[in-house]
Amino acid sequence: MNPGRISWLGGGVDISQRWLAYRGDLEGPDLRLHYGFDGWQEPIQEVRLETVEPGLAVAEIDQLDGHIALDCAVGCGDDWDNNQGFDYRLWIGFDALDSHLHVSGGGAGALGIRSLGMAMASAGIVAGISSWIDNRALDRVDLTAARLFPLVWIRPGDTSISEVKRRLANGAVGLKLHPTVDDYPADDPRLDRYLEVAARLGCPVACHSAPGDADPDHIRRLAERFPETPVILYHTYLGPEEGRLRALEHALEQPNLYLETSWCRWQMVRRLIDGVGVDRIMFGSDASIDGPSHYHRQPPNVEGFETYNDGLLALVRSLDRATARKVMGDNARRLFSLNGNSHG
Amino acid sequence: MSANSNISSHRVVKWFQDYADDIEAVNIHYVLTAGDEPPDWNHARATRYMPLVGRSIRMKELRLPLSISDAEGQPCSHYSLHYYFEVCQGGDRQYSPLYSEEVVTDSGDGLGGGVDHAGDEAERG
Repeated sequence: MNPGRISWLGGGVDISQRWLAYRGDLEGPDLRLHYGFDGWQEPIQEVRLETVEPGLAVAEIDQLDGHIALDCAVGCGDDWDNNQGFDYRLWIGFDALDSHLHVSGGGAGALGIRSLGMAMASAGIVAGISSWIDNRALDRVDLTAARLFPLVWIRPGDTSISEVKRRLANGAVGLKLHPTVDDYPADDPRLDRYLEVAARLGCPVACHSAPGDADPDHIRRLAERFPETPVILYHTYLGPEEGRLRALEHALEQPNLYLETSWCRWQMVRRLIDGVGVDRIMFGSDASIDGPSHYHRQPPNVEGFETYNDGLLALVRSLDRATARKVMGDNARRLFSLNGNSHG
Repeated sequence: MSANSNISSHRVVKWFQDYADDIEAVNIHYVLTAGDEPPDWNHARATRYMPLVGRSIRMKELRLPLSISDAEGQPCSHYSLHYYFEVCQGGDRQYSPLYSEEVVTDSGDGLGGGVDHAGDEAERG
């Protein structure tokens, strides 16, 4: 069975009752939603899904107050659509956008569009910013259908300016730098011609940050040369805590630096928010590097201690709703100019 | 493989030939070790993307150090390069066998010249 799609239907996001829509293969008089709140906490409940038209069924969910997420699966008789075993999640009060995704093409493997879709559905991610090391691979994927916004992968000296302009004119929303795998320092002067394009068009630049060529010290120097261009430190340093805190210090001193949180445990994300302010922090996950189970893989893949799904529950619960909305999507929507704050 | 040294690094060129049309990326992962030390893939790994330089031909020039420290902390200009290829194909990642070869950078004149090593055939996939 193909995984279905579960989403909230219209209306405001702050009401205590909402309609939920299921679009998928299951149908029949016994169609029902099996759900729990905030990571399948008891009591687990069921509600009938009413078929509106072939392929679309709806259910009204109440008692949303006091909860932050709904986890669910769809049943019909003995059949289940549980997103291939990964379940579905919907966040209550905001539509989550992941600012750091990868998809390699249309293949069926862990990095293919199908795996990413299942992973996103399991974590309540409705849209995302995606890149791939070979830009041409994304040309073969229907990114709009997958609600993905591509970045242009820059390889200095190899990627042509005309290609960058063409891709940015055709839907790409920013530039991606990966100094480590492409073997150049993040403050390489050869990047300037690309950053000049980004500055002219007002689009952000996302840069892998890690020990070595992608060190935050290098990235800061790049950001200093283009103070009007947002520069996002992907991972906020993929390495020991010392580097994360150094990245934070740079962000405090360089106002066009932004911090993305992939592979950071939730307490570190809180520390970053408290340190630099909520407007410059954005959630990202690096999905689906670990395949369709990326957000809740066991053993835990976030520093070996927590899953994204568990960490996000703790993080969101620790934040007020306005802050959570910003970190979980609206900051990225603002920075990448994604159709206001409502896209997704 | 070909190799030579310049003033700050020893350069080793690696090639990879795509064996299918749906290969989406190829990375080379490598670790350097002195003596008989086993490679520490968790802490010493370097990863480099191998860009296409022709139709289905990929090439990466690795810039290796002129020397590395051995277990006693002594500089060692004769060391081992351990590497494998990660091939992204159809959304999946596949891995080549692991290869190891000797690297010698102390040619004295600063130029190591061209060197051929066993294992080059296998890396062409």
